[in-house]
Amino acid sequence: MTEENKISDRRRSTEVRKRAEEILLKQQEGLKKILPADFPKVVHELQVHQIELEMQNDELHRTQVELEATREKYFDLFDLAPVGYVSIDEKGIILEANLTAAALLVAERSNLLNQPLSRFIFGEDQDTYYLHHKRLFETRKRQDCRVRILKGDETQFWARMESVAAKGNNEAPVSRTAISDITRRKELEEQLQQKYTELRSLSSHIQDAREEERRNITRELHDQLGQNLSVIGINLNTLKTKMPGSNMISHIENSLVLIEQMTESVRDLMADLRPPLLDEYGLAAALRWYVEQFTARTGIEVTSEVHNLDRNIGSRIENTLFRIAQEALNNVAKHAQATHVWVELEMEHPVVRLTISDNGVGLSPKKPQKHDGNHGWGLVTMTERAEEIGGSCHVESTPGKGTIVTIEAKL
Amino acid sequence: MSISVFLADDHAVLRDGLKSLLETNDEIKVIGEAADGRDAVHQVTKMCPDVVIVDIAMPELNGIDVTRRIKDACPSTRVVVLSIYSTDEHIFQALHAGADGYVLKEAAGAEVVAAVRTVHEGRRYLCKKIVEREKEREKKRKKDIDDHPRKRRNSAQTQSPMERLSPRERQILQYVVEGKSSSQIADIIDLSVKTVDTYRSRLMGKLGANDRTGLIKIAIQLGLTTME
Repeated sequence: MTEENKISDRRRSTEVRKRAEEILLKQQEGLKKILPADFPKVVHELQVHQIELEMQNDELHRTQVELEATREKYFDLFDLAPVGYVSIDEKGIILEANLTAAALLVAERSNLLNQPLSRFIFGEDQDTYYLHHKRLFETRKRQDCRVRILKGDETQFWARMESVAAKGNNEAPVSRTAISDITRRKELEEQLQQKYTELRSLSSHIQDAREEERRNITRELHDQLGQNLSVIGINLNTLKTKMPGSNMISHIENSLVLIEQMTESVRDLMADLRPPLLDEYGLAAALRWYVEQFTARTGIEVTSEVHNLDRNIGSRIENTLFRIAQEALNNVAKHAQATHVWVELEMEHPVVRLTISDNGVGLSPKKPQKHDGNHGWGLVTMTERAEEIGGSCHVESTPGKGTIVTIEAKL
Repeated sequence: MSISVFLADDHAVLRDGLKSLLETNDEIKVIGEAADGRDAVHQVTKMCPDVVIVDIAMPELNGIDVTRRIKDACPSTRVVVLSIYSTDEHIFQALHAGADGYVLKEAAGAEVVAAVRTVHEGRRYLCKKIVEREKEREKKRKKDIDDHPRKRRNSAQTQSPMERLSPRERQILQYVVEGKSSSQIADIIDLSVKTVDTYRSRLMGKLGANDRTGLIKIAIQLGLTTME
């Protein structure tokens, strides 16, 4: 027990004695009525009573000491906790604060008490804090927010605030708020975000490079191989015309057949690399062509509709939408077990929307993003491609009821 | 009577080859050549030859645009488009621009002379391969209709109204008959209210309904909902 406590203890017992004597004085009248013969009995009673009282007093004293120890332990824990704790009343005034809170805010504890906590919140985050506080008192449910805290030394840091509702003195509602420094975490998050952005831009760059490469190879195939094959074909025909009846005719004809087959291979290769109509006739034509090929290859019926499509939607968007449609159709062929696909392309200025839906088995909700084979990646790639042109990709699926993929891009 | 021919192709060796081949015929005379589209239009509009053979893919101005301009300036000049592409769209674009003939490059050696003669006579010439493909397709279409008389997908009139709707349109029809507003539907399926309205009006068009009541009537007929 501290010295201070001993003094107040002594003062309290003097006080109690004084009050007891006053009461006794009032009761003197009653005592006069007691007969002398009863005195030994009364004295005995009084002595027993006195011992009882002393025992009770001792007990009280011990409890008080224990309480004091618990209180000190509580304060140690409270003050030295690794997070800052403050109690705030409904008006936002700090009622209590632990030492960690004081250290976080770089303020003396005495300078925190009776101050509004908002004084320590960074200007731009005042609304966040205000809402946090308001919701806690309205809903009395746990609240969580992130704000920047202004330190006493004018610097600031990112903090997480978690508040729970409690009852303070006089049963008034208070907020018990934990404040923790999340600067490091925020930094890591930002780094992660930056890496993600870098990765996205790299992926976008790879897509562009791939597309450019394909364009170049296609041009090469067309300008060199294709053209030269045509010339050889023409020249062989000239030869054939100029030597009628020659025994070389059958050799020339064999060569002509080979040239025709080679030209067909080159053309197929070109179409695989780069949709032949996209650059010259636009997305609608390229889609019509692809859909026809798709039906011929897979046997899946396709209904395609194009509404209000402006030719000037830009080659980057056209190209991306074509590749997404290709990916989506291939996903349908591989996984959906569908018999019919609908491809809808429409313009609702400034939005271009591509919808690809099927009557297949739908995506299993159990393994929505698992990258098994190419399926999972298909969805990821479609989303990434859509985002590259500032668009979005939305997949809706009900097991047994098909899948609807919607891609929206803004011009 | 000789046929005057002009060649437009950016590939010099190909032009040479074509020229030799065409001139194995006494009545065909190559009177000019160009290596790009702009030059081709410039020269052809001055000399108005009987036939122009033009490559579909050329620098400066592509073969389709060249065809259009030549046909505008010299309506009597016949144009044969030479192309590596066999897609419907390319053929359609060429014919739409006014081309009289369409010859695939792999068949140029065998067919170009016939093409020049045919268009010069005022008839259309399509590469044999394309004609055969069309015949095949027509055969297949007939066979499909014979095999599955009810499955005539290619004509919208023969489809049932519901078959004409895409899954998205059906989904929106379902919500409309359930009494949901456009903004409620937009919330559910994560599209804008404007988009939902577009779908609604397209639905009405496809099903021949004038308003929501009409849509609901049709939905009841189709068994999509019941009167409650």
